Formats: sequence, C-alpha cells, structure tokens
Amino acid sequence: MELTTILAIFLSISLYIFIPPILDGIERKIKANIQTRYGPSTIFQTWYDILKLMSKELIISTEVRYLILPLSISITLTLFLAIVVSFYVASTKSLLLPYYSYAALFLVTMISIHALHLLLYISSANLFSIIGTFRIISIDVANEVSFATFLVLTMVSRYVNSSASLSLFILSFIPLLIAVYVSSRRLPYDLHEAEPELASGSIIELSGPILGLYIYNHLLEKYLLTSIPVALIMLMFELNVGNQSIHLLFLHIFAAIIYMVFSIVSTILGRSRIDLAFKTLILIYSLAIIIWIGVYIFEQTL
Amino acid sequence: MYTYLSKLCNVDANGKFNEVYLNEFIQSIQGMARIEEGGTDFLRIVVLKDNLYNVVEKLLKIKDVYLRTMVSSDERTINGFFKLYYIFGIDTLSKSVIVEVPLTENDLIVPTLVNLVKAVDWYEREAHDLMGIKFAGRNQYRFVLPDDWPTDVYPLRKDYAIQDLMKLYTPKVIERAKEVEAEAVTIIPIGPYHPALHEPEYFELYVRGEKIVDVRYVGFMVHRGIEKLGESMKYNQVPFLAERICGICGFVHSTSYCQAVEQALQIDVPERAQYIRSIVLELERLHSHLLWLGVAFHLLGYDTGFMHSWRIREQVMILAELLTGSRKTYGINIVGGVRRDIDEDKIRKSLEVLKNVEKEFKTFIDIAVSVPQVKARLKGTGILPKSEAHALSLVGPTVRGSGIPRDIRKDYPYAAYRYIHFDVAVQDECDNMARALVRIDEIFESIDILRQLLDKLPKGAIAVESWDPEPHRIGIGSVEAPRGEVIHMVITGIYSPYRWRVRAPTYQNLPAVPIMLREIELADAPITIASIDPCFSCTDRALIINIKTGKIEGVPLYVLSRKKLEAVR
Repeated sequence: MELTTILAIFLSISLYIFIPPILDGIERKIKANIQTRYGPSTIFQTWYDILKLMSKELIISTEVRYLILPLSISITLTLFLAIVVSFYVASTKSLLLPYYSYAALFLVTMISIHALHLLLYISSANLFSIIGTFRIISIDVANEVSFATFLVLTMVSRYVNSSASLSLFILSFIPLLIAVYVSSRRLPYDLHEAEPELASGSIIELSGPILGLYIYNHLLEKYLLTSIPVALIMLMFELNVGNQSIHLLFLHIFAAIIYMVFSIVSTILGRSRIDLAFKTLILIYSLAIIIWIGVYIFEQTL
Repeated sequence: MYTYLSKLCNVDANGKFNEVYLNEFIQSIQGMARIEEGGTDFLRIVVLKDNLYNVVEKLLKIKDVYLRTMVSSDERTINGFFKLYYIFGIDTLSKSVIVEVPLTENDLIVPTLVNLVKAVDWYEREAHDLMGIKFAGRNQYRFVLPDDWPTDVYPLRKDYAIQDLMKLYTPKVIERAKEVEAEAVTIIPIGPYHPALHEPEYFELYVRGEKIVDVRYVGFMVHRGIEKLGESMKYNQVPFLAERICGICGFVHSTSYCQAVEQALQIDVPERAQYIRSIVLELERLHSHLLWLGVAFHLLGYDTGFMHSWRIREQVMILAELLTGSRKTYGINIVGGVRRDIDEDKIRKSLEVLKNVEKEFKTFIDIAVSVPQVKARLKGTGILPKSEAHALSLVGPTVRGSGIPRDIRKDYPYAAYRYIHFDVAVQDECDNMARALVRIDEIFESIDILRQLLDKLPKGAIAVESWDPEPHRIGIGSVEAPRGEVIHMVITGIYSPYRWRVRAPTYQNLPAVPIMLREIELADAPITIASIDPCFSCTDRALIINIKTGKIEGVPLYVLSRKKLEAVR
C-alpha cells in the first residue's frame, strides 16, 4: 500500500473523529435558522458541550457502573467501522474481498453497535429507561431487518440487466436512506429518549463524562451511518474520480450533504407515537419491497 | 314573582324552551323554597338543607344547566348562618340561578349533591376543608389543606384572621429542621414535578405496556389562601392581588372581581372602560392561545412550530406593553373602570400589529397542522365525550372541543362583548385536535374582535368618579378566560369584600383529564393533560421559615434563583 493511500486513510479517520460534533453544530445552526432564532454561537458548540461534560466530576450509580463496558465496546466498534469504510473507499481498485463482503461487514458491525446500545439501555434499573428501551427495540427490529433487506436489494439491482438496474437501484436506495435516517434516531424516531413523559428515557442514568462519551459515540455513529450508503454507491458504480484522497474527500462531502438533508427533514417533522412510528415504518418498507418486486418482474417480462 | 320572572326571561327563540321549563321549575318548588329577587342577571332561591336535593334535581331538568361554582360563606356576623351558594348557569337564558342554603353552626351537615352534579365533587371537599361543612352520603377526606394542618381549624371562617392562622399553623418542617440544627430553612417543593408538566401537580398513570388503564390525580400542592387575603384588603387593592392569581391570564381575574363588585354595588361602568377591558382581555387570549400552541407543538416534538408560535406571540406581548405599559400583569383594572386610556396613535399601531400577526399566523398554522406527525397525534387522542363534558360542567375550549358552544362572552355578555359580532368556535370531534382547532379558530376570531373594538372605541371617561360600598350585597363577575369561564363571587363588606370566591377554569376542567387519559397511549398523556391548557398554580411561591423567630415570608422563586446564580458566579 502506498504512503499516500495510508495518509489519505489516516486523514479520513481523523475526519470521522472530528467532523461529527461539528456537523451537529451546523445542524443546530440550520435548525435555528429554520426556527427564526440564533442558535449556538459557533458551530463548535457541540464540541464545547462534549468537552465540558468530559471535564465534569465522574459520578456513577451502582446500576450504571456496568454500562461502561458496552459503551466502550460500542465506541471501539464505531471507530473500527470508520477505519474499514475509509480503507474500503481508498482501495476501490484493489479490494481484498468482494464489495458485498464489505457490505455484510458494515451491516454486522452496525447491528452489533445497536445491540450494544440496547444492552446499555436495558441494564438500567430505571423504569423510564426500560420503557424507552422497549420502544427502541421495536423500532430497531423493524428498521434493521429492512436496512439489511434494502442493502441486499441495492446490491442485487447492480446485477440486473442494465435497462432496469437504475430504476431498481433508486427503488432500493431511497428506502435504504430512510432506514439510515431511522437508525440515526432523528425525529420522529427519537421517542425512546425524547418523549416528555419519560423525562429523558434511555440515557436518564448517564451524566458527566459518561454522558459526554455517549453523546460523542452517538454523533460518530450517526455520521458513519450516513457515509455507508455513499461508500456503497462509490464502489458499486466503480466511481473513478482520480486518486484515493479525492475519493475519500467525495465520501465525506456527500456524507455531510446527506447529513444536512437529514437535519432539515428532522426539523420539519414532529414526533410520532410509538405505535404510529412502528406502523408507518412497516407500511413504508412493505410498500417499497412490493414495488421493487413489481418493477423487477415488469422489467424482466419486457 | 311571575312578573319578575317574565322580566327576567327576556330571551330569544332558542331560550323559549328553557323559559317554559324555568317557569315550571319555579312552580314545582313552591313550598320547598323561597324566591328572592337578586340582580338582573340572576335568580336567588333560598332552600332549607332538607329540600336541597329535591330542588336541585328539579332544576337540572332544565336543558343545559351546569354548575358554575359553589361558594361556602361564614355569615354568622351578618345573619347568624353559614351559607352555601350553588351557582348554576342556564346558557340559553343568559341567567344564573343561585341556590342558597343557610346552615346553623350546630348543624353543619348537608346532603351531598355528587350523585346529581358530578362537578360539585371538589367544591364540597373544599368547603369541608376550609369552612368545616360536612356532606352526608360521601367520603370526606382532606383535599386542599396540607396533611399537617391542625384539625378543627377552618381557615375561611371569620374566627380567624390571617395572622391568627399563621400562628396556628406550624409546618412540620420546622421540627425537622430543628432536628438537623438548621437555623433557617427554605422549602422548595421538589416533588410532583415532571418535565411534561411545568407546575406542581401529580398524575399517577397505571399503564399496561404503553396503554394507560387508569389514572389517579392528586392536586392542590400549592394553596395560597388568596381569597382569605383579599378579605383583609381594600376594594381597590384586590384587583392587583387578583391579577396575580395567574401569570398568563391574570387580567381575567381582576376583571371578574371588578365586575362582581360593580354588579353588587350597581356601579355603572363607562362604556369606554368596558371597551378597554375587552381589548385587553382579547389580547390576553391571543397571547395565551399562541403560548399554548407553542407548548403543544413542543410536547409533540415539533419544535419548529413551538419557536414560530412564540415568535408570533412576541408581537402580541409588545402590543400589550404599548396599550397597558406592561407585557403581563397589566394592573389597569380598578372597581368602576380602568386606569389607562388608549389614544388614536395606539389604535393605529395596534391595527398594524394585528394585521401582521394575522398574516404570519395564517401562514404558520396552515403548515403546522398539516405536519403528518402533529395530525396523527392530535386526531383521535384524548377523547372527551360530549356527555361527560356536560356532566362535569366543563368550560372553555375544553367543552367547545366536545361540541358544546358554551362561551361566557355570548351566553352572559359582559364588558363590550354585547356591542360586537363574533362566532363561538366549536368542534364536534371531542379529541385533542378539536381542542387545538378551537383555540386556532379563536385566535382569528380574537383578531377580528379586537379590530371591531378598536374601531368602535367610544369617547368618554374611563372610570366612574366615585362610588360607595354597601355591605352584604352579592355580585357575580364572570369572564371567558383563554382556558374557559372564570367566575368570582363577592359578598360586599364595609371596607373590603366580606367574602370573595374565585373559581378558575382549570378547577372545573381538571376532573375531565382522567377520563381523557384512560385507554390512550402513554406517549399521548402529556399532550392530553396539556389539551385543557391547565394552569395549576401560576405564581408559585416558596416559603422561608425562620426557625428562631417563627416568621414566615413568601419569596418568589426567581429571587431564590438569582441568589443561587450569584452564589455560583
């Protein structure tokens, strides 16, 4: 592997580490703008918030003590995934494994991260946290099955004859983006910890540095999730726009754009009720699968 | 008597039906009650306690009768009796019927009316706590007073002045503080607080999964004893106290109080003053409804709606400051009129602001109520059937969202509402969306009312030059507040009100909340509780008790907050 590739990957991982709180700062400014208010004084505000939380005294109740393990494994896995995605995009021409193997790796790692979060939530003795956890489990079950399904369908659409591939790709990629949006726990799917009757839901027991770590991990995961569809497209369509650094730059630019689009969408939505959120998701995904199959059969019969 | 009734019942076609029944009712209670001529707006019926149940049962046969308020009064110094006043309203006749029950000190047991009138439940419990009246045939337990309040001390009786009560009541906290050797103790009630509920109130929700199966409500965390305090103040001091009952719609209380005194003493308020009161009342409705909409959107996670609603509201607040000198707690009401006039320049500026508010609100609300999540969460949730709304004598947008067009501005016209045209916003769906839509419609209606009032504002004085108090007269003042009917009853004294009874709309509407909460999703509980626009104890105060001197003083929470802020700087 060339030195420039290694440097580019290192740069990409650095961006993965530093960009998410800044993107969150920009998201807060965008929200403020839409809501006709000033918002945070700088786009680095989320970084300042996290650093402030990190500097607070460490107070952990006995129930929460064991939550540090899943949280730290989750952060490790998230960073590992950032390395894999960067490596994957930088080495499009000389991949060690076929790209669907990477897609499977992304999927397994993401689901593992979410499973660790559920473990973190459910370990709490707090009733509010438990209610929030059951809400998040129901949404995750619906969403992650669909996430995997549409990831597979997106890849399948690559092998369908050329006349149909684009329409099938669009029909699978849009639900995939929806699944990514839901996984990022934005409105209206933030009800596990944002519904007022739960006070603050799943993370109610966290404070100080632990809360700081959780928030940072969540932001990192949000950004990483957004970048995965971009990485997949770049590989599937064998996008060749120069050297690896440019590839990685494209990855981050497009991921940031999608992140901003998501933030605008979340600003104009309200929060669903748990049953409505679940029903709506199932309805959208079922319709998307039926339409995909219908278009596939129609294209094949032509 | 019948001449009096025919004069009383000058009604339109809708009220003819009830007019007949009212006459039949008067005939049917012959021998059981004595009719006394009250004011032009109400009919007084004096009954002995043994006949109370039968008389009220007959009264309730009149269509759409509802309990407006109930007042217990210690009149031993006037006529030797304790008295209960059950004030019923007949909307279609624009009349109130006061059922008056005298009680001797030795026999303070009255039959309960809970089986007949659901809404009387809290009133009876309150009369038991504060006046020592016992109601036969029902469970009676401490409701308003704190658990450590001494037994057989009934604070609203004339036996006690405020100073006596402060000496009689020693909160247990003092003993506890002495145990920990604390010299001064500040009580901050961190108890029944919840992020979804910005005031101290306790709802115990029993859930199975995410479904609410039952609800228990415990209220009266903060009782400020304002009625007792008002009885020790001069007539024109009370409006300023009354305005502090609520931090959002305080003007309705000062107006209600003034109207009650003016009715009792037959003070003829200048027309211009009545217009100015109506203008400020409508401004208050505008800002209150915009505030509620913002909070409702926030509870639904639609924070963009919350921000825009409050941005538009800010213009109304500035307008209130222009017209009254204050953004809130205007302090312009006095008995007999108002203290501040509105000139032509202010009228012009007000019309400009209203035009802008209307335009911006229309654009905003069309988008806001179309947001899929907002629609899905408001529609079909928090159902309050019309029958329950009627049985509980509910008021305001809560009752209008269940298809009952009860609006005091129309039913019992006061101030300048009799000179203008407006429609009462009603929705039949009985859900949270219906109550929200009623408030949205009322915002547009209020803007229209304000335009009419500003346009027609007559010339003349803004207050009567002088008036003389006459003791032992009864007056009722009611105002359609943003949350519903506020009703004040005043029995006049020589220098101060002898008895001042305040009934805020939340008092009437809260019993409906458990009905609305049953069988709904847990996530809908906050918006359903908020849908009645509750106002529990708007200006909560902490008590500082000095252990050494035993002195108790009220301190606004913001002062404590500032002290804390200074301490951490």
